Amino acid sequence: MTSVGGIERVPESGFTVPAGALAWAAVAAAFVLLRLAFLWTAPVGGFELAGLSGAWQASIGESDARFVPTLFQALSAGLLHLSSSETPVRLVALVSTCTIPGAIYLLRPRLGEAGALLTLLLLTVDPPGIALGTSGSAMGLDLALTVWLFVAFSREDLPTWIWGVGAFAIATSGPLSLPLIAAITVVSLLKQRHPSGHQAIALATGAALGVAVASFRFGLGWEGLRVPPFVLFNAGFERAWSSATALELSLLYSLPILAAGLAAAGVLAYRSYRANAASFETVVLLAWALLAFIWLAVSSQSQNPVPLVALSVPLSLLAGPALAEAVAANSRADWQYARFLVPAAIFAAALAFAQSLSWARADKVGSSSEKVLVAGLLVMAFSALGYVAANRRALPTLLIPTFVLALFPLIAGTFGVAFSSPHEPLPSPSSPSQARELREIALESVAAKGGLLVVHPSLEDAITWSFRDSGTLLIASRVPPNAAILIWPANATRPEGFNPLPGPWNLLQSPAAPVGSPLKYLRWFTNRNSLDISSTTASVYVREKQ
Amino acid sequence: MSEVLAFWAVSLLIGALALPIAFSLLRRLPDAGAGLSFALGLVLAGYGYFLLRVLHVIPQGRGGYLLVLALLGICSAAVAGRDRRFHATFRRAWPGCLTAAGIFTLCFFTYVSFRSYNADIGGTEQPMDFMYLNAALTSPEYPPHDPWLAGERASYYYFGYLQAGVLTATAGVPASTGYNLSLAYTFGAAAVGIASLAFALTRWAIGPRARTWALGAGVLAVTFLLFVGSLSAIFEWSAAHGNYNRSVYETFGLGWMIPCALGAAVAPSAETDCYKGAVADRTAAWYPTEFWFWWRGSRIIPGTITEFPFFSFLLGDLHPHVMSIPLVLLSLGLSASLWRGRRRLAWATHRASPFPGLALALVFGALAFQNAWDLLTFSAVFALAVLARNFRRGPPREALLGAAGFLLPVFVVAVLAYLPWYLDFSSQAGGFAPYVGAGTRPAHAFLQFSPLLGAALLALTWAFRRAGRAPLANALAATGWLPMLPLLGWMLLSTSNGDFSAALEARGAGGWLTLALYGGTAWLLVAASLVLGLRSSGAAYGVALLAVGAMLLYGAELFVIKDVFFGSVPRLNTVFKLSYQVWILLSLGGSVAMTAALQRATSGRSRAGWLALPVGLLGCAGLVYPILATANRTDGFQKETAIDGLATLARSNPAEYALTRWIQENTDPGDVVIEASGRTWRRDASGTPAVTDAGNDYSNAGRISARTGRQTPLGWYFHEIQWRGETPANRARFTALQDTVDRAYLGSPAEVLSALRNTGAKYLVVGGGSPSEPSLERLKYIPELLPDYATFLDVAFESGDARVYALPEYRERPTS
Repeated sequence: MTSVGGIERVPESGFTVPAGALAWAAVAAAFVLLRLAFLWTAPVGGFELAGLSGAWQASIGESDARFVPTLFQALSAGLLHLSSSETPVRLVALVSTCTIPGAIYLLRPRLGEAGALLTLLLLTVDPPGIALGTSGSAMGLDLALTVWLFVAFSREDLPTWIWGVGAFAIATSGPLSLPLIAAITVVSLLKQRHPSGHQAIALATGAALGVAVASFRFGLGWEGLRVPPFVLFNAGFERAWSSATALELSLLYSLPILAAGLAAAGVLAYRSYRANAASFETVVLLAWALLAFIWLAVSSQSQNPVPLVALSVPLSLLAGPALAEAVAANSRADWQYARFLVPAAIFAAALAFAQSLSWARADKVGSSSEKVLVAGLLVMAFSALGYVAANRRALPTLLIPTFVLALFPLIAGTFGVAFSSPHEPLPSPSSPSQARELREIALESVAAKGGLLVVHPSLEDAITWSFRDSGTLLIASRVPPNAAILIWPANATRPEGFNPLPGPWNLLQSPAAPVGSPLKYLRWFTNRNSLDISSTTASVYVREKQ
Repeated sequence: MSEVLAFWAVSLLIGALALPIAFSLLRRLPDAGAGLSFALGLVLAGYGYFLLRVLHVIPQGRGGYLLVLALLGICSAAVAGRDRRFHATFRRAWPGCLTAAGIFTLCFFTYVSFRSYNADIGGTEQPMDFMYLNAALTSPEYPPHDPWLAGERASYYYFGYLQAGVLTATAGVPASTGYNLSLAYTFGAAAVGIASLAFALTRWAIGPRARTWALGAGVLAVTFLLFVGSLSAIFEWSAAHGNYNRSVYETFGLGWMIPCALGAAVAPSAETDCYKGAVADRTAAWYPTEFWFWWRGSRIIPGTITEFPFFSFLLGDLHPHVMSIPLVLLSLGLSASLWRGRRRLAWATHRASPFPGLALALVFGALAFQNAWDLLTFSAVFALAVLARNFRRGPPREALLGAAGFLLPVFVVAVLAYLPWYLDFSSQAGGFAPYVGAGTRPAHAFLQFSPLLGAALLALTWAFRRAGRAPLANALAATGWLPMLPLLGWMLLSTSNGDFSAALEARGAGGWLTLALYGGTAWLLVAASLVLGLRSSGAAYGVALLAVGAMLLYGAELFVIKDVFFGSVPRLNTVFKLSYQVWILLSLGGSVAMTAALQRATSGRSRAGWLALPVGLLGCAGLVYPILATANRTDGFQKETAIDGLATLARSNPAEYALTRWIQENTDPGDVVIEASGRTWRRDASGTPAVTDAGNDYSNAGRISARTGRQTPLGWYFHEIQWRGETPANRARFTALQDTVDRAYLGSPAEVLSALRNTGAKYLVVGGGSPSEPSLERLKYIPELLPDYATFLDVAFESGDARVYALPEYRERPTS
């Protein structure tokens, strides 16, 4: 194994990518297609709902705390000025995200050919990454920016102006790149690697310009000093950008990538420590992963998927080369016993899994004999794998069962998010089509009968997106005399003189994350539409005829 | 438990992040500052948060706190990267780092265990402390608003609350839990800080080989500072069990502990010099079980508060003078490190390396922001340390000029760095005045300070040895003016006020004797530190701290700092706050002096060193208080445990607790909430509502505001007077605010709406309770006069009989 710029390069022998160009094209195509699927199918939900609501308010000149002046939010506001659909906004995010395969391709000298390809594959199937990189949240450009920053960091011949542009982009982006920036800063300071005078000036100018432009909200007016990455970093702790917590989302969608990445990080750190030599880039990559991990850990109870994406990027960069190395080792491994034991273990585990699935469908654990059977199968599977693992030369063969184990949940999550249904915890809470139908009914009624469309203050934020472009609403906590239609809390008593419009009317809906027991997860695994859905419901009242 | 672990982990993390900076500033200490890095890290993180919030760079919330910690990490990396000796220092100091982490952990969890028996945030000034903690955490603007005076910023030294907020928010625990855990942090940081310093000073005093003795000094210092208490507990313990001798008790000025004569009619509120409670209630166990037993140890000297650290932690008020202990120790450590340095300090020192000066400015500037009383004393120690170092390294003129050139920029930056706070802070100190009342009786001084003063005086058993008669006489002569000057000043001032002859008499024979003892002790200790300093002995700094402590005791007998209590109990705060500083100084210096004395005695170099044994006995006697008081406060460890300060409220009044939580979660941090003013209203003879009790301090008034950080028109009336000045304008304004609030509970719907609009309030609270314990709003007002709010306000929240009403909203919202 050789080291180029500190990130270990996989030996060329052993594992070869057949028709490398074809593989790159296939993975890149998968990268784009999965995101295109999300673009067309996903409901507006979670951080996107907040982002689009804020951008819409900004586009009509209204102040709203959900508008955080990132460059992407400003672009979103501009696009919503032209079209009230979320699609153009998502398209901009998608275009930027689709540059990531190119960025990873440029990292081949550092990650190795196979390592880079596997890194891209991991990023392709990262469900939270799909959601963040294709949605109209305030952080639509963050994923691409973060990856490109790492690419820029790993090149030494950058023109000075790039430093300024980079600083401007960071200052007007979301928080996704903060762990990388912090890692570069800390490691640079420890290693006494400072930018040159010109680079420092470019950095300071870019950052100052970015903060200034953001503080003027890209021309929408001054509302005090704003540093968007800091504002959004903080907002992730204060607001609900997903109905599930970061920890729950990690378990549901990203566990395989996190496990592979953390294992790779551990191995790389150990090797660097043993060799007492780690390149600058390796230390930065490890520090980046560590800081992102800390962010995820402290956010574990926050309803915020962003730290998960922030961690999956460096872990993919670490896991890609490590997987390539593991695959190469796998092909050189001692298969003498493993060729029997590994398939047998997979078969036994599959039988146990099948039985568990039947329990999950019935939502209860089966009889004692079934339990004994499942336990026995699992003991057999793990014993077989343990026996294989005891032989150091056969150890790499365990990659196959590990791969099988990781593949199913990862693919299920990836497709679940990419071909998103309203029953997927990511993104959520989402604005259902019913909310838009309610808008049509309400506006027609007001147009026909006159009077005001009145919304209760407690529902104001929930209807911002679905009731966009609906003229002027009255936000009132008590029924005004000239009200024609009331959108009222579901638990409030019926106002006198008003008839209810048969409901209930869902303004937001959130599937409950299938956590708490493995059976819940397995049930959801087999049937994505099995989750309980909680809703923010409203009662709709129409004034009685006089 | 997860909250406790998270808080502990964050405390350790902050200490670890500050290690490179501590190494750079405190390298001369044996542990390279590891023991003081907790305080250093928290001060720097707190300052960073304050500054960045004031500049609007970071928003309010947990993310802002985490960003500040990241920034602290970056600063540490910068320092570590530039420090060529960082790795060598780390290799030398890692055992010290581990020991520091161990001491902190032990003390933190020990205090958490104790506090869990008394976790409730209520009584004394705890609501005020909780209010400031919540203000620091939730204020939408910085400098933070004053939740007890809507529309105004805090006018108090609140840096301790801000630091507690850093720990609380970063750990992600609720403020009501963070309050208690911040006390545990302070306990742990104080323990590790003084242990580290005592270890260093002892090694400097008796040589680097005496590691075991130095470790012993660390343990002794922790014991003196955090455990030793008033000796009065022994007397009360004995009296509670019916064993007392009247003449002995009266000799010690403790006649009030002896039960009043049987059959004597004593009103509960009467000022008596005998114990007027029921004798049978004093104890039902081996320790005094009467509730107030533990309190009286802090009121030994009449007309003053003689609080000591153990009492503070027992009481559980998160007060500035308590939270400042780690910072004070850090300032003493920095002064020690500077004093120990080799080269002369001057303006050129800053030019060559500006960052240490900046760090010094931030730490010493923080003294005022955290507890303004500490500023003069510990800045003076700092200045003296710089002067002493320069005098060691050059002629007097150069030493003075160099010291001025070094100190002036530090003090200028210290003021500038905290300018946003100074602009809002209104100090109520009105200068010095001669104290013309009764002096402290020697018996009371003995009960309060004898273990510490005894330990301090042990320094005399070894400081003057080998000094020679002539140098000793010179030192005594040269320092004689130090105790004389304050006395002359006192005489002049009291004469000019026309109080001199009355003051001579009022002080009393006992008062004069105490004054002479304090003055004599101060003189001898100053002379001892001078002798040691001239010999370039490493013990000089420790003895100098003892001298400063003795001078403070002496000074507090002669002068008072004028404040709002000047007219009633003039030296209440002066003795209270200065004796608290004395406790820190004497604990530190005393542990060094005692250890050095014992070391010399056991090595046969000094017989006088065996005097440490009787002093040690006094120290053991001082441990009776913590043992008895702990048993008393925890009901012999039988109470229910919790660490959330609102757990009792959640159990006893679920509706009010739910209301509190609703306000926390559903209102904006900038919202104003009206709640009962705390004044009591009843119908007078003509049936007209009238105020029957206007006092609202130390009550539940402002409770919702205190628990949530939301502003209310006015909280505790007299506390606002203390913070903002006792002026007719303030009195009129605050009374008007109370009138407005009271109209919201007694007036017509129009008056209620007017009260809400005039105070900028969006919500009005009618708290929860039960028929036997009605809510404050139902208790303080006349229930049948409470308006039917639901007819003209929105019911925003209801649970049981608790309600939050909101002003109705009507506004247009364009959507296109």
